[in-house]
Amino acid sequence: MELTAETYKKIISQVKTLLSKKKEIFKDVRLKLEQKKIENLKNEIYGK
Amino acid sequence: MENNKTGKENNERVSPSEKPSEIPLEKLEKELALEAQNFVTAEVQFEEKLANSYSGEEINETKNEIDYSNKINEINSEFAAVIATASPEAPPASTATGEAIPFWKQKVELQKKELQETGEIAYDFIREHCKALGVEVGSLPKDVIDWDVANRGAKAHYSYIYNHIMTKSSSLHVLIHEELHYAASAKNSEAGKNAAQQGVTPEKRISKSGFVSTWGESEASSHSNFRSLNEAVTEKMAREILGKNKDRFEEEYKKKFPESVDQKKKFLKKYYDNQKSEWDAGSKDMYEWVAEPGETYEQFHDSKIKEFDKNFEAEQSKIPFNPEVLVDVEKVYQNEINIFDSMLEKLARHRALEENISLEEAQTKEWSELQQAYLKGATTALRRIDSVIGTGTLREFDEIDYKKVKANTMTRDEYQKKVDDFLVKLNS
Repeated sequence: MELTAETYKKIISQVKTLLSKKKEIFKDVRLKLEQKKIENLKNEIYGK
Repeated sequence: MENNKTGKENNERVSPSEKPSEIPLEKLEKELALEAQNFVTAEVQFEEKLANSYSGEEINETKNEIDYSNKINEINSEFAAVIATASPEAPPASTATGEAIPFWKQKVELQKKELQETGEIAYDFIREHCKALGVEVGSLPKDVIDWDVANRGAKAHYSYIYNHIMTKSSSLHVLIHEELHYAASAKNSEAGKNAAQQGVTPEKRISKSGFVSTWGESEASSHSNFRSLNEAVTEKMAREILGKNKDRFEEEYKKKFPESVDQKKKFLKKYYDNQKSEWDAGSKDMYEWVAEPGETYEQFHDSKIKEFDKNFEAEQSKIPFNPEVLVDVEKVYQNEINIFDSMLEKLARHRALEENISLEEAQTKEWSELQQAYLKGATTALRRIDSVIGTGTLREFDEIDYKKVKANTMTRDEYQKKVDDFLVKLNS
């Protein structure tokens, strides 16, 4: 099967979309970890 | 001007519908290779960033909470399926034109090579340590270590069954820990093999490494004993070996693999010079095809060049080797080490009285002998723990297994309570 320019363009766009999806998940992890960090700090400062 | 494509002069524009045949496939293929590279490296970069800011335990816990592995695996599978459509029966354009292997593949090969090299040096350090203890360990064949492409929670894993190390990390600390399991495996040392044949029914035992025996008919139905104690000894040894040798690593690496350092420098410069100029020459065509809606050519061009420069800088920092190798990883198995240290203290006190030696000397002797026993797979040496500290001590330690938390058969709080209670008992 010969790959056309159109196919390449489509695949590139799909890969970009998948990377964005992945980055959203990374963001979720980071956010949760930061929230926990803040929570821990609060507990440390004010006591549980 | 906000819009971009219409803002450009007409004679500069190549409309896909008008002149599709003029879009060079090689360039599109390279663009795809770059995007694929970004996709693949994004996860590694993310893991590196996380490891620098949070503990492994925090990371794993949080990942579990949001079902990270499944979500990422799903996207990775989709990515693999998408990429597969770009490499069907017909060879990729670059191969067809006789061009070199795509950069991202070369880069992966270089990373694998570096992992093997780091593993070799880690093993040299292990052998030196073992030799000082009077134990010779076998060699480390090149195919023992592999990149872990699956999304397992742990950074690395030694399979007792397959006698193989899978790792997501090239950290020296991580490699020393896993290679110690390898070095202590009955499959890899004569001393271990001999010990493994003593007093047990070999047909039911799948494997033995250090003090851990894995029993069962198959991997799925297998169970192990002395796992926590074994991990405590392994990690305590790994920290000791790392502490003694970490500062020597760079020197050893440059001495042992000078050609790798040169290869990386040359490869990096050649790649970025080529890629940048080639991409630049075809950037106008590319703009028509892959720019985001609303993006001007200048924005598109600048962001790509910045991306190249950023990638180049990031890669440059990985010469002579990826700094991740020497980054302090989180202290794993700390609870198990605390328990083991308390046991060691009790054994040493007993020995100091028995042999009329100083506590310090007794501690050194106890620790050396336990390491020797670990490397030889001499589990019988553990009997001393039960006889000195109390019957049932080993069994109680065995019940404290973090694996149960991961498998959801014990909560984290239950596990921690068992650890704390056991420590109180040992220290009383």
